Amino acid sequence: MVKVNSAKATSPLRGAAHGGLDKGIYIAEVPYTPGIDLRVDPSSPAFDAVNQALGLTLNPQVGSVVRKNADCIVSQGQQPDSNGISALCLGPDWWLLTGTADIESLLKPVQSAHHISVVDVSAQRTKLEIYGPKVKEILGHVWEQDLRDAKFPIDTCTQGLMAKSPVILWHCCENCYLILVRSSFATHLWEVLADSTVEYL
Amino acid sequence: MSNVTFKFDGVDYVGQAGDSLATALLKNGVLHFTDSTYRDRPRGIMGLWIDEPNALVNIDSGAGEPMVQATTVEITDGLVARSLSGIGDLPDTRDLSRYDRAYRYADVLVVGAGLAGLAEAKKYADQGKIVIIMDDKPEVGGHAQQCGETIPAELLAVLTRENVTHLQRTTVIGTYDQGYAVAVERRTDHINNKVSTDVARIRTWHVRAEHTVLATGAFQRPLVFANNDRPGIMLSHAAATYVERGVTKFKTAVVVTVDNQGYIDAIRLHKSGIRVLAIVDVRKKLSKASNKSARKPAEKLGIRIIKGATALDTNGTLDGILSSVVISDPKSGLKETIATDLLAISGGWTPTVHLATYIGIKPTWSKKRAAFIVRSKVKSISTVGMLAGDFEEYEPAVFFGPELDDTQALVAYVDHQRDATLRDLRRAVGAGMISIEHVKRYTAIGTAHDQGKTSGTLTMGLIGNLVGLAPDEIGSLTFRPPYIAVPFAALAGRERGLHTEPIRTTSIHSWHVAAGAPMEDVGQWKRPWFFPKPGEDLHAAVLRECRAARNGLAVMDASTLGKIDIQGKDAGAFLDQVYTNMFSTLKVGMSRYGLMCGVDGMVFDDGVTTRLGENHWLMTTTTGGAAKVMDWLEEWLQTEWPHLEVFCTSVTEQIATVAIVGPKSRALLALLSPGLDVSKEGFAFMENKYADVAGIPARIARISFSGELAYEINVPAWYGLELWLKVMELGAPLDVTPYGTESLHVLRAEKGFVIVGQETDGTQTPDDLGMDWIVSKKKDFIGKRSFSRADTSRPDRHQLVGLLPETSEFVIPEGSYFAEVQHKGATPPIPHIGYVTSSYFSGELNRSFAMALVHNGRARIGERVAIGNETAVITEPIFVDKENVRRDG
Repeated sequence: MVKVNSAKATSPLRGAAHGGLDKGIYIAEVPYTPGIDLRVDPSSPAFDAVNQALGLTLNPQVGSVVRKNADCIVSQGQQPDSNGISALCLGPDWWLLTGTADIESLLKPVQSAHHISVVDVSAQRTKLEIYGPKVKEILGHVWEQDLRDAKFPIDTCTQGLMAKSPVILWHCCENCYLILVRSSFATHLWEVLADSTVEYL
Repeated sequence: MSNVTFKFDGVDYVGQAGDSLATALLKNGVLHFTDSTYRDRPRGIMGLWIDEPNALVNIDSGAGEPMVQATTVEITDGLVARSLSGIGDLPDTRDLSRYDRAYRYADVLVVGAGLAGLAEAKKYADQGKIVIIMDDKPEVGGHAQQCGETIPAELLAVLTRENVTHLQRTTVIGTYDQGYAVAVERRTDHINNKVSTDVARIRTWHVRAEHTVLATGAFQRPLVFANNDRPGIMLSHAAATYVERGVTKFKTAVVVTVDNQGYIDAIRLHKSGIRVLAIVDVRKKLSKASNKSARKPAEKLGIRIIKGATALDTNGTLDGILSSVVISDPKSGLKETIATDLLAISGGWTPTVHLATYIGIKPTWSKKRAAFIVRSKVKSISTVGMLAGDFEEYEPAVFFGPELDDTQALVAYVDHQRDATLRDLRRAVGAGMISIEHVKRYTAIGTAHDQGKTSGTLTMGLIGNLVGLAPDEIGSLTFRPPYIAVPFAALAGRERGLHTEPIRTTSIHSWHVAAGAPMEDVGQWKRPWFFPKPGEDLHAAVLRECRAARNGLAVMDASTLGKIDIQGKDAGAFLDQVYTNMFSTLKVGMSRYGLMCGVDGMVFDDGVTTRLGENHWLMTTTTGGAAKVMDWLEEWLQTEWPHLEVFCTSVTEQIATVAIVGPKSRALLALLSPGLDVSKEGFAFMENKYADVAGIPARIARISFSGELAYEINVPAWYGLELWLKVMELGAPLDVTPYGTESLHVLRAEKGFVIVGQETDGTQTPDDLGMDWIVSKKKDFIGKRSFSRADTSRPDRHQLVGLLPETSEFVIPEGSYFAEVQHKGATPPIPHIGYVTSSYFSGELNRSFAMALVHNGRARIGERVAIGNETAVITEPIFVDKENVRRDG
């Protein structure tokens, strides 16, 4: 798995937090979230090999999220399972894999036999958790896509521009969303998000 | 109701909370509101809402507002307003109010919370749909509410339902395809007139709904007769409403009408204590129904009814305020002057068709209703209420004004705000114009703040009269969003100041800020421009930074370069196509500089690409070109060469890069990574090595953009700051000097390295840049065909050369055009031969130098050129270390 030497690492937002669990909204950076960019053609034999190696079945439906041993731990405050994998489908042959499992090692044998691409992008983005009963209203100030549960249910993800910053938005559990933002945009997005809560805190 | 005090044109008034400024002023007896823009005619309040053509005010309290209608301003304590004569003025102070934006999706959007809109909202809410209902007025109920009717409780109850979002004081300003609508919600001005910084003063809503209900209602029309613009002349619906709300200025009224609305309003006036002297009805004969519903109730109250007549002219006091109205019926010869202080006009209803026309639904002329109405045939849009013509029971006559001679026509106003008259219409038609689009532009009718809300249909009817056509044969008015004037600040929302555009920063940015480096914008990135020591200016700092890079040790944050991870067995072959030079032969662990062309054979981007493994490559791009190169690669892979086994992944922000530069950089690298063989032989130019650097796993590349010995240390971005701190710490005994983009530019220009986007503008071939050495003759590549065209290799193209000013301190401004030397000091126009792309002062050369693109430049080397009164000599575009001996340290 992607190891982090936290004594030497600095996350883009230094673990910033805003709002509160007891308030309508809470936003926090969860730094050093592992991220593996996987490219594989779902119609190729490589696809089955990848599924076997990961021990799950990737869903080639763009926007789908498949999880293995990866309950949403955000609001429950649980300890993460050490073999967790969540697979976010970002394109017809493109997944972002995250979780506590050693994903790169799992895929290494597949990579030597098949045409797939596995790239560590853990530091490419940072993760923000945003949750609370007001979360849809607040995201609605910066997010153009439909947030209604019927259209963007739990365990779906989508990409877009939030405050002109490229992000992946993942609806992970009730009133709880994860925002994976490009690191260079993180400070800008953080300021805009915090500003969006002014009327709600 | 509580009292509030406000100021209008410098006078203090007391009004009742909840009143509009127009109501409050009328209650205070203010009839003469302002003078008209062009003809200084005294004008009063005529309408009730945003149809008002006269009563423009500047709000000078709170956030301020340059031009709004007094009919739409809700008075609050301390309000300061000033009447305008057509021209507003922006406050010269910054508006600190908060504005924001919200996106919302719904099953149904209902525009207008009158009876029709409420009924539709209830219908859909009952079906369990998610409904948003928006209404622009301060209170729900539309026309019925204004007439003092009770809104049925079951309709009002819909507004608080869980699946209904109700937004009052919210004007839909635009409707677009796919159920998209934009609205502005006024949220604070009616509460107080303080600058609101913690609650958004105006919220711009972006709504998408599967179904849109337009229930936008209608505005009443005036009539066009001589002197129809005096204070005291109002739309009958507005007059009755004002009087009901407590305006006591008027004692008597004459109602001139084309429909039954005039009777309704006459009765409302009568019941509010006004002596209605007469109802003057254009219609000679009324239907049975109208006789019963309109005439008889009025007669029962003793109101005199004059049929078949209309207003012809009015008289005024010395101040121009209405004193009497001249009634005429040319057929019967009736001509009577009735003294009155209120003349209430009912010229028929004009449905508010704007939102329907924005999405391409054409209004149709209904003779029966004397109006353009809208009945949507589009499945996702329904039109209801007065908009759809739900007012035929008023039985209006198609009548816009009496016959007038030219003198009368000169003061018969069609568009009050524009001071445009019937005479102007006659001149337009006389000049051969019939189409409403031509007449509108000729007369300026409908171009003021109210966008023809009272004058649009009137104009079409009057032109029709002049040319003998029906109103719909004249064309139809084209409306465009926004429906009302919207402050730019409301549209900008929170995207102001530092939040206008994202500011992209590297993992090391906080250090640069703390070091006091001024920043340069490179695309959205902020990059340190230079690192001044106390007392240093740009020039001094750059001399010092460049000296360190050439003679000692300098360090720069190079993290912003675009980076693309490329994997697959065909990656080498793919890169051979993408770059002009060969990559597939590159050894694992080595880097190579490459140049990309577009299909036009022009330079597109450049960068260093490294072969990390047999089937694994890492491409770097220019800072500004990262996204476009990624798109470019994907486009070729997805559309042209899907058979290639290649995957690309952006890793620009995964990797932080610190460049250590200068003869002492080898010594620093040895300190940073003690186990690494840093010798000249052990770590060759363009070689890459993996090693721990200051305890961080890193890839080190020996590449140089300055010509000096240099290494780029690449680490996962979250270690970037730690790496930088270690470089500064261990480099301190070697006098390590951080440098910014300015020194970067000087150093590379001294070596003659181009910057794509600075030396190029998309019209330079590799050959133009003197880089034919990088263009492979053996293989194909993107752009080769264009590059091979005779025209592309014309000898007289603009070619990159160097310039050495003959005054050695003179730094030629970048972008300067220059001429052959005989034109020195000449007055333009003179033929230019080229322009300067980069220009700096070099400490290494102790003189200024420049790069330039010059017509047939390479053949001109040695020639002198004139830049104004200065001269320079054309040289090779390389100034330092032509033999490449310094890169080994």
